[in-house]
Amino acid sequence: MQTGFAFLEAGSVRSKNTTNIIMKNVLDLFIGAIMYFAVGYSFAYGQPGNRFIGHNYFFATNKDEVMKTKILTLNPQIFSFLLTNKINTQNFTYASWFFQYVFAATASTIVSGAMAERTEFTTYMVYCTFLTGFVYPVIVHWCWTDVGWLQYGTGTGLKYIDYAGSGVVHLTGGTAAFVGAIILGPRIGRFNNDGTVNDLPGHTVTVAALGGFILFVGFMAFNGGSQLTISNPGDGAIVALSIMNTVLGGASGAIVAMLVYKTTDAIRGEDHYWSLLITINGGLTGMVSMCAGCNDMLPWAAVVIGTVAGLAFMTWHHIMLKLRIDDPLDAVAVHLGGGLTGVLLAPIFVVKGLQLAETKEYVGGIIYGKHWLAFQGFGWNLLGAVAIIIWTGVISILLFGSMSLLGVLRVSEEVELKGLDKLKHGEPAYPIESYCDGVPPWSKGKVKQCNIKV
Amino acid sequence: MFIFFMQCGFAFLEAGSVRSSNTVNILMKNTLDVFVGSLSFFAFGYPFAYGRPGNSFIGHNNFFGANVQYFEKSVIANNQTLGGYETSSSYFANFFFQYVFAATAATVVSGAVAERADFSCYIIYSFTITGFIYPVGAHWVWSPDGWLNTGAGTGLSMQDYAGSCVVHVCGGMAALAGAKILGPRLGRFSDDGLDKPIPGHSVPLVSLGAFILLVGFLCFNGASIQRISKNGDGLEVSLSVTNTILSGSAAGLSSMLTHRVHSMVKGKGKYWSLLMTINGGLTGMVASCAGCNDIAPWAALLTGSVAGVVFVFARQFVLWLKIDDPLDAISVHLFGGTVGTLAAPILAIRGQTINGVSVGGPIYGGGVDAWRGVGWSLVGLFSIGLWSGLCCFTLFTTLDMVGLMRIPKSVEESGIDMQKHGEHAYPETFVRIIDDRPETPRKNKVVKRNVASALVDKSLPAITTSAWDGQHPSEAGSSTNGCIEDPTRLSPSTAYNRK
Repeated sequence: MQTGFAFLEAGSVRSKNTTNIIMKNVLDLFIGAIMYFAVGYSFAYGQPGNRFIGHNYFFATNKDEVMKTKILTLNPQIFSFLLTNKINTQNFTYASWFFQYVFAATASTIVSGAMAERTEFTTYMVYCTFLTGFVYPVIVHWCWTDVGWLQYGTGTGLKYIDYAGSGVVHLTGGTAAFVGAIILGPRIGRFNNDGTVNDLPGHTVTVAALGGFILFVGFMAFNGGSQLTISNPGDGAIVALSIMNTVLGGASGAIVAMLVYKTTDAIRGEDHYWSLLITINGGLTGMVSMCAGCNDMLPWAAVVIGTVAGLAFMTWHHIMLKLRIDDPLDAVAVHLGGGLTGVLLAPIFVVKGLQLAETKEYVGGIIYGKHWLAFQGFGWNLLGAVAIIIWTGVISILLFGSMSLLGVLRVSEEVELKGLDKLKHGEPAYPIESYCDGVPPWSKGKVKQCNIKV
Repeated sequence: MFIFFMQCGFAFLEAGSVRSSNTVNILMKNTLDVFVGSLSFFAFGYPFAYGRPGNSFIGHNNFFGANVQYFEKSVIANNQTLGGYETSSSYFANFFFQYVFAATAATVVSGAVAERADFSCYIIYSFTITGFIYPVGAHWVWSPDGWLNTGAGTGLSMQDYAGSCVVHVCGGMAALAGAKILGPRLGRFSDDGLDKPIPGHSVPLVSLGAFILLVGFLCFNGASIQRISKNGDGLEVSLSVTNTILSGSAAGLSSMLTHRVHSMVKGKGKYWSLLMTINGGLTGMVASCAGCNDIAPWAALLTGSVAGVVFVFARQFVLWLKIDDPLDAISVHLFGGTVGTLAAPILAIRGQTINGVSVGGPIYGGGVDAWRGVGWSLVGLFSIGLWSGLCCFTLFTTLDMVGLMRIPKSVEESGIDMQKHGEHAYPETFVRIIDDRPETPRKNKVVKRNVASALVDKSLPAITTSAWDGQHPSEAGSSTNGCIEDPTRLSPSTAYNRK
């Protein structure tokens, strides 16, 4: 899916900034791997951990086991990995690390979309380190480990419902993107003083669509794989259901977004189009909203939630424009909007839902109305969404704000206008000297080019 | 099958790294080496590599699939075995898996000989490497009969899990031989020895290829265990995948940083180079192939960091030798493979197996046996390097003497696509670069740009969207992509005409 994001972003920025955005995507893949390996997974899943954060498994070592080996017991834990030859650490599996790592990489790559075309490269790397190393893992710990406070609930069976991370991954990324885009400011030439908006279109729709397709395929794996097991009885059915719901949610989100875009513009008397990019982004929003509960809802519910997600996407799209926040890829609209939709609507529509602590009975979603716990579940999810937004938002404000005050967040005006590729990377995405038409020089004027009638 | 998809990754990596007038040619070479490779590997390659019985140098059975039991025994009447040899019923599964490895080794070379190798030369080379050169190396290391595997009396076994040495050093040496004998592209090195880089035409295509390769590599290394149902297999596979991504990441970051520092020191400006990063990442993954199932994750980080730094300096070394390598294939595969082959036994956890017991690697208390294992890997590295190098050197020299090696100068300077394939990669109706800059007077009347000359059909619509604009919005209309380049360096013909 990193490929998909890279291409969605590459196609949606101007050609003079393409190398830069692909570089940011490649970097957050690499930095994410190292940070998540070193400290991220440990903060997220380290056992034992407290309600807030985990504290074991740094660099994939288990401090309890290392302390048991009698070599140099005075060693601080951080260097223990040099001594132990155990690659099989208790409760830590490489497969689980890898799966969680790619989720972390997804969260951090969302931010690069909203901050495209004008962010300083080094600051982005620093931000990425913090997001995959600290901000995201802490949220994962709250929501997906048994001891985290959102998952632990109040002891009555109240838990935070978020199967594949609508809130954990997408709301986090979306909030960080939102804060980043605000603090960064719009691209030069995007908003005029009289309130009109200049469209700064991407340079290749084909590439963006390629990215969109790869993301669609990847999302099915994202949601299907979140079951984490395949060999328990009933797993196959749940995985299949998740994938189906993901597709349905994406489909309804895309269609609704496309229709709303066309009809609202038509009603207002402006130029109205069937926009491919809106459709793709609407589909992604739908799939994002599915993440929260696709394993546990009926297909008709997936269509409903996808529709709401498509509407949420369009709403956020217009909110961002009204607030004069420049988001080149609508990353905030897709992820923040879709994430909120998913987190808030999942407790309404789930079939099994929460489990009562005393009787172990499943209460289902609000529409099944079996027990007061379902309503509390909605409230708990709302609380979770708010907590994630506040946690990510505050840390992002601190990070981006301090970088902005230091003057390192945004590139200089000259660099932004000339394009980041040449000046920052030395590699223009489409170097002009490499484009030739292949006609032999001695036949100039004598050979006609073959023209294809379009 | 995902490893087969890596061929697509290579194709895009190469397509984006050559000029737009040679794109069809390079894609054709990539497609062909998949097809030619499969025929040659089935007929000769797999039998040479894994045919049993075989001696310690080469296998000699199952040519063209002979003596293979196609169906389960119960289907054949009388339960007869064929020809006295009973081969495994998973022959075809093994064949396909080994084939995609062989195709990987072969396609490395197409990168090093891009834009100037003759087509028939490439076919002959591809047939030979998948049919003979690579399989012999694979036989030595991976076949139960091969001498590097059995130890040839020393009791040691070369540790090369997913083929750092077998695949990448072999391919890298072939690339080196090919690029050296072929010579640089026209205009690449000026007469006084200066390096004049010829950039590729599309960085997004290169990065698409790189992303596909990164994913494919995870499969390449993860699947090299070739089974999944034994106890402990899941752990080994997941460890391999983890080590691969960690090694790749560390290498990408270290090559990016090294390049930035290096280019700053050399006074060429401070750049965060995307191409260095992704090629560095690939080098790290190549380096992780040899031992990813047997090293600790921190060791993978170390291997990757070293591989990234080695990549940057290897690239400088190749340039110093005046070898033109459009994709840095030699630096990635040959040098990355070397780092991997040497790092794996040094950092290994289980290490050599003597008398059925793992002695452990050198840092885990393996002692003399572990260091002998490192030495054996060194022997293997030299053997496979020399084997591949000598065979390819002979092959390419022969082709060069016959005159089949390089395309004619006229074809090279105007671009291969139209001449050899009759197809534009980017037909003129889609892209027209308008040059509105005032023509500066030049002494030798060199054509500024082929496209802007009288050939262009002015009835075609020009591209003037702001998306392709590199200038300030007030200067809209000249779509020069924001690059102010030396106008005399715009096409191969000008490069050739330059003094």
